[in-house]
Amino acid sequence: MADILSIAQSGLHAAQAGINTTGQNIANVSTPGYSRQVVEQQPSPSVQYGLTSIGQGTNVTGIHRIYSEFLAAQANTARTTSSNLATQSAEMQPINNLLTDSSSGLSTAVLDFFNKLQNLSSKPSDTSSRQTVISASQNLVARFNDAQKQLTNVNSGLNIQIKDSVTKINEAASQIASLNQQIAVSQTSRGGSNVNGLLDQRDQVVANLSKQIKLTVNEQDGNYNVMIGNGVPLVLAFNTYKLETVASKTDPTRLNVTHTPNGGAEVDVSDVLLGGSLGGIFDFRKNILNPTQNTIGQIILAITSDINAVNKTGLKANGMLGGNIFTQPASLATPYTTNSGTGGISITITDTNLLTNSDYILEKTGAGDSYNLTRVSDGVNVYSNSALASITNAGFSLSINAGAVSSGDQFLLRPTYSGASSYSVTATINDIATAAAGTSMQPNPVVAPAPGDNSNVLAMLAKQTSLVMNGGLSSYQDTLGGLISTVGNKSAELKATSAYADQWQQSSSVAMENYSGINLEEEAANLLRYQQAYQASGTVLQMARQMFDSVLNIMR
Amino acid sequence: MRISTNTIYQLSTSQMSALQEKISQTSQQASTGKKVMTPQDDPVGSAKLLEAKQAITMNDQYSVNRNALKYTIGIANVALNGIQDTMQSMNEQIVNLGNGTLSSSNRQSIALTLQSHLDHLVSLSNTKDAAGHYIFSGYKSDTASINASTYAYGGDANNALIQVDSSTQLGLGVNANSMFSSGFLAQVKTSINTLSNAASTDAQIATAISDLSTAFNASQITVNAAQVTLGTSENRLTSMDSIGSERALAYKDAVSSLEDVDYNKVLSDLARQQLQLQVAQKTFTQISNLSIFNYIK
Repeated sequence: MADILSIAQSGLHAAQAGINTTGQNIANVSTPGYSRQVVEQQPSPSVQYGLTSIGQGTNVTGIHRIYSEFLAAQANTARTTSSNLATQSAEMQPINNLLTDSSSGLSTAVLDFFNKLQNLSSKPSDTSSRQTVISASQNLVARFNDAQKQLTNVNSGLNIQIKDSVTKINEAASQIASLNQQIAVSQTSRGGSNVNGLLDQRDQVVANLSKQIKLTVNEQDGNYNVMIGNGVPLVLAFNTYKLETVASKTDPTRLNVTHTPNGGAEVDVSDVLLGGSLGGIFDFRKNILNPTQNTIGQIILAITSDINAVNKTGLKANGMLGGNIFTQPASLATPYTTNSGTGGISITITDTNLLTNSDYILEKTGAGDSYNLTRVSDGVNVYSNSALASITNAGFSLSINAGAVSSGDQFLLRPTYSGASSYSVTATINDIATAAAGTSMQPNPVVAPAPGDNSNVLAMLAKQTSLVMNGGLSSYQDTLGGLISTVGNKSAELKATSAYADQWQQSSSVAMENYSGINLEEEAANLLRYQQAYQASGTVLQMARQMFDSVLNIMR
Repeated sequence: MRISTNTIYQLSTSQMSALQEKISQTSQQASTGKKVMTPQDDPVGSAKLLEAKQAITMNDQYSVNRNALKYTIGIANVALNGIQDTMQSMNEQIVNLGNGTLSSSNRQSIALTLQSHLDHLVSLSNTKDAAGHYIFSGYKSDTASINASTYAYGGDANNALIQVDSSTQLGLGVNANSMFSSGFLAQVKTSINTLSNAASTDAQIATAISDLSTAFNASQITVNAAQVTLGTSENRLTSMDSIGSERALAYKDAVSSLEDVDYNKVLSDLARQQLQLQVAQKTFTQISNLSIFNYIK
């Protein structure tokens, strides 16, 4: 008879465990990353009772969480992709808006400049017509300078995001390593005690990390080992190998990311940190921001070079040959910080028609005058082991401006990009060379041209519609139109793929949520079930007591 | 299939926010009347729009250039009409001179009349525009076209061209040198001198009259030719004007079809999207009210 009491008691225990677990599930219905828990019950082993054996009640053998590593890995992959595309799509917006002409006025400024030249062509000696040309030139460079400034701001914004993302990745690394440790300690010290909460926490940290960067998780002896990007180890058991942000060795205005592996040297991993929002930032910077900056630079460089060149072939009112209307900033040529030589390189633009919107890498390949020139956009080696002075086909020439260049030294050349420096107009109304110089380049003695001579203005105007860019394939406006449709297409594509990836991410999260998440109806039913089980076991206990009482009454 | 409670909420809210985004886009289109907002919304359309707007601006500018040239042609026409009238009066005097019975004083008075006509021709040849530029001097717009004492041409042979449509450059095409036959004005002066000199012999006078008559006839042809040149240019400009305004209409139609919204479509989209959102909201509140917990008392 004593057995029935302990059987009833074990039933009460089990029902209580069930009610508690259900309560825990209901309490955590909206906790992110919480996996529903279920009570695992087994009948107690039976004991010999006369000729047969009878069970000894029930045992709660464990409370485990419903969690699928497969679904979690799928959700993480989807999250990485979705966050990568969403980041790029969001970064596109400022550029997209910049190229909507009503906000930047790039195209309007070009048109207006040439319109003012048209007016000058009908009144070549008129002071106010000359003044409006000077004002329109100033407005032209101001619009392009402003666009470059906005793109530079976009780059600064990216630097902040890179820092932020690296901080989040490093924090996640510390948390995963620390959770690895806590889980290991709990399991050994308390003998397989309930670590469900810790496991959920660790999986949630991994899920958040997967937004920042592509990752793979290998479970080894209960520990998570995490690799990010293309195989960069971040967490191995209790150890973390953190990322650091450093200025790029080719462009100090850009942040890159380095990693120091166990016992190894610090390496730049920016090119292998793919996926997630961090990878998205690097992709965007390389494939969209950089070419956009270069193309905008390419257009204003071509316009100002062409107009300067025509002005120099004409005569000013005082009979002297014209000079530059526009002052151009120097193209950027940055020596790698790893160079052993001290030499610097100067870029001189020689033919804007031959320029592309690509950057170039110049490398000294030997002790003598021997250089390689590689076009970054397609990786083509434009010159191999060539003398510096022989590099002429890319629209620019190169010279060493200071110090000595050592073998192996590299330079990032950005012919059409001038960084923070900007274009300006130093010419005043008398510097516009409206007249033709004729066959003799400069008359001697100097003879003032006829004031009605507008032929040099016509020569400037001819540039507007001529195919003077990209190897004679496009006009200034064509190049601007091309940039707009490239950015628009890329932007629309990112928006569409990002929406698709977002759906994929949502459905994989839903799949995981449907498997591991709480359903309140189910919990309500469980609550009723365990409540009834509890009441039933209570009734058994009461009945056992009554039976015991009736035996005692017989004895009275 | 098992569905978690969070899923129900998540799916409903994400569906509602997607609908809200659509409504916001559609209502923006309705309020601005513009379809293409940024290059992303229509990459090809945006580039085409840029082209069309460039074409419109350049077309407008050519029209401004044509008006500038028409203004100069207008002034030139006035001057040439004056020259034509003056030549007409000169012709009468030259016919009078041909009458062999003229006395010396008659000749001197005709010479005086011819001198005033000559002065008038010089003054008309030196016509300036509003900015003070001599219009019949070629590029040398700061130099008098005809020197009032030597009667020599002061300008040069250049014709200042401007762009009047995408493929045509046109200038005034007339200067004080081409307007008159070579040496006409100087010849008039020489003949006047001979006619007004009482000591001139009959033979000298006869030569003066015949030389004057020859030069005059030649210049009538060149003045006529100059008027024809101006008339032709004016006609070309007028025809370019009508082509230009047709082009402007076509470009504006193109821009409008690229960037203007179809209001019927936008408004019906808006109504449909609003209805969808209302249905989603109602469904959500109804579903979220269903729970066993309502019955556990």
